[in-house]
Amino acid sequence: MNSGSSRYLEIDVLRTLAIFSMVFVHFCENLAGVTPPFTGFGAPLFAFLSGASYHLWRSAQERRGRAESEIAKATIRRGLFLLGLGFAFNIFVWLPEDTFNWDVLSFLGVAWMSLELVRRWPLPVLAFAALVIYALSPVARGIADYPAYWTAGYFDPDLCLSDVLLGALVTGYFPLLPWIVYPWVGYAIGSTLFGTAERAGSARLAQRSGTALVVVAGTLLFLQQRWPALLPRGARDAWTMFPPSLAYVAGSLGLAMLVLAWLPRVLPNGDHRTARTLQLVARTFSRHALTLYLLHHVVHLWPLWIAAGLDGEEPTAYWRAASSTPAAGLLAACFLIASYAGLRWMDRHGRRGIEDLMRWLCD
Amino acid sequence: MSDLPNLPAGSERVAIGFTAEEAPSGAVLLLVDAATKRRAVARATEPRESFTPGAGAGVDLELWLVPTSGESREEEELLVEALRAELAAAGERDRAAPPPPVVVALQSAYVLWSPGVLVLLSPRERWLALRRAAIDAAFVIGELRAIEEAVEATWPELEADASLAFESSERALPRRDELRARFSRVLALRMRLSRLAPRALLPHVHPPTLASQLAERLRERARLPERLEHLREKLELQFQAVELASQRFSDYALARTGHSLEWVIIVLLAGQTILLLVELLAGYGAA
Amino acid sequence: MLPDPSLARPRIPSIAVLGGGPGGLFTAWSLQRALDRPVHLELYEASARLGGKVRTARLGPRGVPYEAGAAELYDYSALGEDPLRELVAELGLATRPMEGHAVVVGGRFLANLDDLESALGAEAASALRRFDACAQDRLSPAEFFAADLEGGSASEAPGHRFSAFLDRVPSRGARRFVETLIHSDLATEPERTSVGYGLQNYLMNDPRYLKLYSIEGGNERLIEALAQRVRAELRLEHEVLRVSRAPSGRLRIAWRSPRSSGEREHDLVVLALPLEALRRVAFEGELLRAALARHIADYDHPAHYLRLTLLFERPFWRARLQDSYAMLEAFGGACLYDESSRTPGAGYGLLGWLLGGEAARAHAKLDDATLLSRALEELPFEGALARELFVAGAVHRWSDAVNAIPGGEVPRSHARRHQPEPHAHPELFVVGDYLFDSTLNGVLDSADHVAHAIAARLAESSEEAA
Repeated sequence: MNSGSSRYLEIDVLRTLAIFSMVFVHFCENLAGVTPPFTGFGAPLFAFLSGASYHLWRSAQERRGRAESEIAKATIRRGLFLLGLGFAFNIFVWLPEDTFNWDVLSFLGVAWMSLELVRRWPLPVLAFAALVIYALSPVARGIADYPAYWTAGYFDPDLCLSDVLLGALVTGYFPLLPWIVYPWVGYAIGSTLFGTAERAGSARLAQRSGTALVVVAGTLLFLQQRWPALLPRGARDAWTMFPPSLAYVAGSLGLAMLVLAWLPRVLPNGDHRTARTLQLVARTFSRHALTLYLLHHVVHLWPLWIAAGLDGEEPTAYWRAASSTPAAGLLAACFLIASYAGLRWMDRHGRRGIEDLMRWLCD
Repeated sequence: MSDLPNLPAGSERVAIGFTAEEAPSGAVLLLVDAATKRRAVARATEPRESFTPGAGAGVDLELWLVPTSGESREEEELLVEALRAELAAAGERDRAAPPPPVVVALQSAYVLWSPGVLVLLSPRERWLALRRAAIDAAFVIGELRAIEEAVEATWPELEADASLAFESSERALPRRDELRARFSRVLALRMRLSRLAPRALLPHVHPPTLASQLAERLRERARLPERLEHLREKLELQFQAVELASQRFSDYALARTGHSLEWVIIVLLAGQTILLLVELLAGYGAA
Repeated sequence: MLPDPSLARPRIPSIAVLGGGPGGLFTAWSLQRALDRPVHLELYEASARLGGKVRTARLGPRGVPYEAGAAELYDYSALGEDPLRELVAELGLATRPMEGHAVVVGGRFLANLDDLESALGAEAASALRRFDACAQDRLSPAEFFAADLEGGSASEAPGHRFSAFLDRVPSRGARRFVETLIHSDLATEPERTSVGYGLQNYLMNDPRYLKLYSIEGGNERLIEALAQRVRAELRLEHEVLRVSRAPSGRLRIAWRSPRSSGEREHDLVVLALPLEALRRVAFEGELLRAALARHIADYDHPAHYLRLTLLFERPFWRARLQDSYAMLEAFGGACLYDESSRTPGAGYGLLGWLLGGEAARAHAKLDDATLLSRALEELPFEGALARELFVAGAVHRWSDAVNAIPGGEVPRSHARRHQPEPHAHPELFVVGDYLFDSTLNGVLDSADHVAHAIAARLAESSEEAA
């Protein structure tokens, strides 16, 4: 998502990394049926960065002198836009029965709206609320009987209100429990890192918190492998994204915080060529993250559906079996290169992406 | 001994530093500020042939004492004019747009004054009294200028913080330490100024002495009362702004503790409600 | 107060102000501000010009302006209300502070205690210090300010003279210094004035008590500004000869001008005349004549000024005299004004002498050329150069123009001072600087008092009529 404010390179770089990870993972999974080792980092990064971006976007709006109520309305409109886009995406890119599978776009829409409430909280309250959500999520999964909604690794709810709502809360692909923790913590870290002049102290705080989360994740994993009996039942999941285990959430969140706090130290700054190139690339991808998200799905999924249709097969006939892993990787790389060229062309010629549509519609 | 070739024999140069050192290097000439125990100390100097001030470290004022006989007024005038021109030239060497040297003419003394340099022309027997008065006046004027500069330096920060005087916010909280430091700074400046004020606004002495006349003229030329008044106003405003901001901070911090507790309770209740909802929904699903 | 049938009639009251000097003009101005009804005001002035002792004249081929009369105004604003300062500000006149430190004794400029000590010895310096402390103890700045307010001056034994007070100064040098310092302001000799007035004139040199200023462009601009703003029928060159009670009950004024003479009746009459002019007016009726004679006798302590003004091609004295003025030993103590310091950047040099007291009276008899020559001789600067640069000179004699014991030897209430015969002639008022402190500030106080008394009287009369 575009922050719309003065840009921080580390956010652009991190989001670009998330895009690269997402494209490679999806191409490899959906074309070759292979799960790369770096799977499971893209979505947490996107969710985390959406919180930080929200802070930057809001600050920029305030600096422009926009009234608070206007900003709140724009926030809600943006959230609804993403939610609606998420539903449309589920229908058109996947299948109509997938409308309420609570994919990442729908989640981000709800999360963006929730930030309008969360931003009013003092940071300790926000941290506490995140902790409560984090701790409640395995309990809620236990109550809801999470595995009952999942068939062969896919979320498969009945199209009834209780299942739909439960999917949004606990059992979907990106349920609010515990995914909402990412944007909230992202917002907290963003307002700490980018809201004060005293950056070094904030970066230290982010690093320490990130390290603590990583240690928690490591400890959970260690205990889960060695002495699972020591852990409560809900905390015994290993490193899994579906369901998002405690170790996974703590680990991915901690890593995101660490990287965000640490990146400014290693990124080239100044006006030399490497720095300028990096800025240009990161900014181009980062500005059009939403467009890329939609586009890469269309580009690699629709040919599968169409080819299967033409061959008279089930639509999902070639899904996960369309190519070899190297070919999928190569295609992902080609897609990224081509999309970079396309995005540069769009930027140069003032062509609009889906982000611009969102801004036009919502701001 | 004269460093300047065109000064009459017997002229002296004293480099003076205002210091609070316990054991200063050099003779103590005058206690200039009892509160901070600052004293005017004569620093060792190298012979020099120009008026350029600030050559030595720790030198705040250069005092040139030039003896006059009081016999030939015309010669005195010519000397004063030559020195004035020299001081102006030295000032131009030192900075781009120097203030012109101030010339104070008293019945039996002349004083030339440009930043950092004070030249006294008087009969030798008047030197002691004049020197004390000149050092004291120079200290007061220098101190006032230092406060003015400090106040001006604080101004942009204050303007940036002006909104905090109205209300505080979550985002402003991390700046509390910064504001605390600023509060101390402004308070310290006010204290300095209030110590200085009685000396800057000293009533005219009657019957006057040469030293009192010199001090009065220097204070008058330096426009001390007006500057003091302006400084007071500025510091008052700065103090008020910082004080208000600190008040807002305290209010906000107090309210925030209460709010946080309320929010914690709400979050816990919300957590419980979510679990109930999940349980309810799961129950419907199962049914 | 007696009933006054003349005021009961529904017509515009007529007020005559006799004297077009500062007293008359201030009275007219104050009346204008104090009254809440229209009045017909007539201002009689015997000479052809307004302003009296406030006079800015011109000298030499270039018509250089100089003060021929009152040289400065007193600024009391640091101590309290200063109506004259307020008036000057209200009239929009710019002012210039005046300062002088030096007393020239034996050709040496003594501008401070150090100079005094080196010229007259340590004993003189310490005597002056003691005298100063004693003077300040006797009259604090607040008391100095209040001296002319109602009940403000401590009464002294009549006949107690300032010279006796000065005799206590143990050093001859210090005494001479003080005498020289105050002589020209006093305009009389210490043995002819009171201790209070002498002390006032000494202490006014202390800036905590008083500051001096003059009006940019000449003090007469004050008169011009007032004349422009005063709504009165001006009768210049109208010398008032007689004041009497008319059969109508009003006061009748007989006047004479170069072209005619006449009489007019007025409801109220204000005598804003110096004592010597008051003496020349005939008052008819036993009561009134006796009251005025008593009034004149009460304040009959004449003091004198003499002003010599010398124009030079350039101000050759600036190396020695940078102040607005200095006090000289010559003429028993005279003030030497650097008149050209009033006009910064003026190419010419202008020195004004102010002689006071006996010296002024005695020298007034000499002719102008002799006087100017004496002035040149007595200059504490290079004599030969002065003669060489001398261009022109002027002499103004102000004999009997001020008062040696202003306010009178026995201070009376303000009402009593301003109404010589309050019972049978309550409509007759007196205004003068001699009633207060022989200054412009004093005459304004006097005018203010009379204006308010008249306002009160008119208000009472109309209430009675109603």
